[in-house]
Amino acid sequence: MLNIALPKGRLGNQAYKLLSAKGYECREVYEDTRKLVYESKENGVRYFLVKPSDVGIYVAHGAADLGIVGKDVIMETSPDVYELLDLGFGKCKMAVAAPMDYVENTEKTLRVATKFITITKNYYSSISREVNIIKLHGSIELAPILGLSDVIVDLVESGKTLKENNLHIIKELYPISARLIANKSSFRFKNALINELLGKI
Amino acid sequence: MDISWLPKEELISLKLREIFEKSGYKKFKMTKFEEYQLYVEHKSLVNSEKVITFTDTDGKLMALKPDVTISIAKNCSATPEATEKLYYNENVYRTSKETHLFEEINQIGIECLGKIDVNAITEVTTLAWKSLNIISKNFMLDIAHIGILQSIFELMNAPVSLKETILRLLNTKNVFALKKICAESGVNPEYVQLLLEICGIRGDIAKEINKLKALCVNEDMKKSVNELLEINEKLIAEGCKKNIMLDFSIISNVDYYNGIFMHGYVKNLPRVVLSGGQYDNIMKSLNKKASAIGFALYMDELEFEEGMPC
Repeated sequence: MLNIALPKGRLGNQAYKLLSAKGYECREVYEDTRKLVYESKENGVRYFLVKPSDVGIYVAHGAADLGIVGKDVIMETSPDVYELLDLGFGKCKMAVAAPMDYVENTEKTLRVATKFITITKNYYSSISREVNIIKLHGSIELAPILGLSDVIVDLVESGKTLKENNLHIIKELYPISARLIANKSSFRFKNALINELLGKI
Repeated sequence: MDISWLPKEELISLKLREIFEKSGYKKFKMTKFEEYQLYVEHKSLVNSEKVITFTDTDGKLMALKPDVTISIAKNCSATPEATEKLYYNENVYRTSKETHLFEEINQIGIECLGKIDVNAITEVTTLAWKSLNIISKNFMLDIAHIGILQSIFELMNAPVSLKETILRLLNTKNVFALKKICAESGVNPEYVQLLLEICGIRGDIAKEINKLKALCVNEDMKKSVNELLEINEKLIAEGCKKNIMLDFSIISNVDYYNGIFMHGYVKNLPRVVLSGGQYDNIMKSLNKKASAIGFALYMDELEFEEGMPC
């Protein structure tokens, strides 16, 4: 039996679609949408639906053998897991965005609003820029509009949300996509099952 | 005397002491504190962001040890002519990588200091195998040879940051990113092929090492490969044939350790429970002439054994 942690939401749906097409279908998923655990004995698989930022934690602690998660979450939380595959979907980029008319004042500490504290901290320290990081949990685009921050660091997919809020990308940082991760102990003791799954997808 | 009522961890620790004593290892009782200066001088060896410090009655800044190996290496009087064999059962204090809070970790381990030849390496590796076998029949001892990676890194002449990135990718078995990074950094295709081969290795030592043999890039690497083969033969002769595998993803640092490196896992325990290897570089940094090899078991990881999903 393989335990797989999936992120709730669009990425998780895409991941489930891929896995179910490759023989890891679990009928229950279609039946009851409130449940958080789905099991298919005949296909030897159990799915957990968890908050996207928690997938790495479930896998690192062995509650799940495998997990599917965005590269952004791996970079932000660096869980001690194997990163076995780039699944190629959920593509977007981590980027710095600012209002259309923004000109950086290099004399001052840069104020950055973001959900991704670690990624932001690492990026700006790599270019030796003094920053003041403001942690937000959502609607990051609002921060520069209200003068809470100068720029934002966030995931950008189509750029539509940025445009609607009169923002644009000033620096692309990292390409992001969905990754398949594995617990290091499970990888050893369920190696045959995991390799079989890797071979199929 | 019947001691079967003891908790499992205590029974395990008694059985471990028994096999260490029978192999000629002597118990080493350590002081609780070390001078903080030791960890300042050897910062790169300490596997923790922070050390708990306090001022002693004479005004000296002291620390609760974050690591046992450095203390043993510092205090030993072993030379290449006089080997010392020690074991310990100690608590160390480190910051958790997840919570960033201090935690107390119970470690039981052995250190063999002096002349480290193939026989000494085999003895320590065999004891690691036997220790895991005491904890659970369902265990896995992973072996790697750091010399093989060091040979490639030397030839690549890569900057430190690239080496660190490559190590991190090997450590997470991230083959696709490894391929990409090597291509972007203009690494010689011969070395790229070797690194990708090493990244993908997981299996029987003799079988996998033969794949590497054909890819040896210099004499040093050939030497490491042959050492690994010789140790493997000796391990088989000692009865350690099952549950042992070659896997380079266990290596996270090529400066602290050299030679043989090992990690132990137990089924249903999510994290590594045994870690060790040869650490001549630490000895050198402490001005010791002797070589050394050892391993530690993380006893508090064992408490999780019940209640894990299978």
